[in-house]
Amino acid sequence: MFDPNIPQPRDLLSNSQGDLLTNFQQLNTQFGVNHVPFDDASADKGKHKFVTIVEQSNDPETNVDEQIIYSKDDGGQPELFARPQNNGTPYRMTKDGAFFTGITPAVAVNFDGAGAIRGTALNVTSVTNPSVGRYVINFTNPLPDNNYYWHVSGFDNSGNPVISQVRNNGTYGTVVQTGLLDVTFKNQNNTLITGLVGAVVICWRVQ
Amino acid sequence: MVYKPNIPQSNDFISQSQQDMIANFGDVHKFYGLPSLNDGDHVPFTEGDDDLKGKHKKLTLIEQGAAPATGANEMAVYTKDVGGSPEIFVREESSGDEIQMTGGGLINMNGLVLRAHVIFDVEGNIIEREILDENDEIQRVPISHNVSDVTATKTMVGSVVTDIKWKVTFETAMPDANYFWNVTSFNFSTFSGSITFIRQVQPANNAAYGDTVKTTDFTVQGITNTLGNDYPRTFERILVSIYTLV
Repeated sequence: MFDPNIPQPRDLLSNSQGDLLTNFQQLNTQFGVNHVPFDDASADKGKHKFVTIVEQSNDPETNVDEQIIYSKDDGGQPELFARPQNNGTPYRMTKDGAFFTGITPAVAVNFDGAGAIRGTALNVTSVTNPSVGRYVINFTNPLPDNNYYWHVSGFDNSGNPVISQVRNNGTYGTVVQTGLLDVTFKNQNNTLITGLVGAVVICWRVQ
Repeated sequence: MVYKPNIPQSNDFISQSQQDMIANFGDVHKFYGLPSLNDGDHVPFTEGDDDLKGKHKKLTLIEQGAAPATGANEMAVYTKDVGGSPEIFVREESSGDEIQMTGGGLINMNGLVLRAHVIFDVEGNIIEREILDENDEIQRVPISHNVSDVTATKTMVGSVVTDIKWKVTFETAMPDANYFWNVTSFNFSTFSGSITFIRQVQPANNAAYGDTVKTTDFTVQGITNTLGNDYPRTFERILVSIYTLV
């Protein structure tokens, strides 16, 4: 074990030799847990390999012109927090296995008039087109509940407004479900459109 | 000189040990951290301010081949290659799940990254907001990110504007044209008892998807059945945001 109190003025050289040897070994070994060790041959000596943050029981203090990142127990598991300068109010960085942004995207898809997905979607298995102007977005993993935010936007080539919305002729619970979102595209005459060119649906949930 | 962890040995002469130890202390001091920002990650051992000793100046994370292990009650912050670049990750306790924090120079919002956003008026002028700079002086900055320009194109019949489009041009192009958009607006409306007004901003109507949605720009259109004499009050604020997967 590293001993910060050696050598003492009365220590025998033979003892000091062992103490010094242990200290130098421990310096290198303990430093090398998270850092490129001092005896590494590369130019990366002193840099971090990764940072292991041991859970703290309280919020550490901060002075002026500094911020800290640390971990603290939240609901039985450590989460990352940050604290601004001058012991500012700590703020959360992670929650339940995700980066904490307050509101997080849960679904995102870009599709064409046939319901074919363009590129790669977020948490969407398929987009079906059960009838003219109506599309059902089927989620890969259901959301925790059906109280989420949505955005629907589409366009065609008609020159008329395209009213993009969740289907408005069912109950909320049939249109906005944990596993799907039912949307329609209509023109200014409340008529479902036939020539959808492109559309996007994004859903957000509170973390 | 390379740090020697295995000194002094029991049969070393003091003169040799003195050299070894001073060399070791020099290496520790040098590679732990020196005063300048780019020499080491830590505040130097020789720092005069006790409040700063032991703390970090910055964190340089060498790319790892695999996620490091974590024990109970601890988390790890590290970098790992994603598509040829190191990105920052966090790992949960007990070698749990990995959370990707960054992607392509952006913060990862758990699957999506905000690639561009802008708020503009009917003429295509990007709206500005006031902030205080480091000298506590008011500066006006545009409410936009990765948008170089918004160009309004009006269709006129005589002196009346009958159609309006806005092309939002990106400073840095999108990786492809399969991105997600969010378009909304504040629309001034007057109502008469006999006429139904519909006014909204939406992606521009076009036969081809690629005429509206491009890697370099995105075109939106003010759609209304009565643009005419109400221009320019009709569309007062238009908000566009663009997202892609990480």
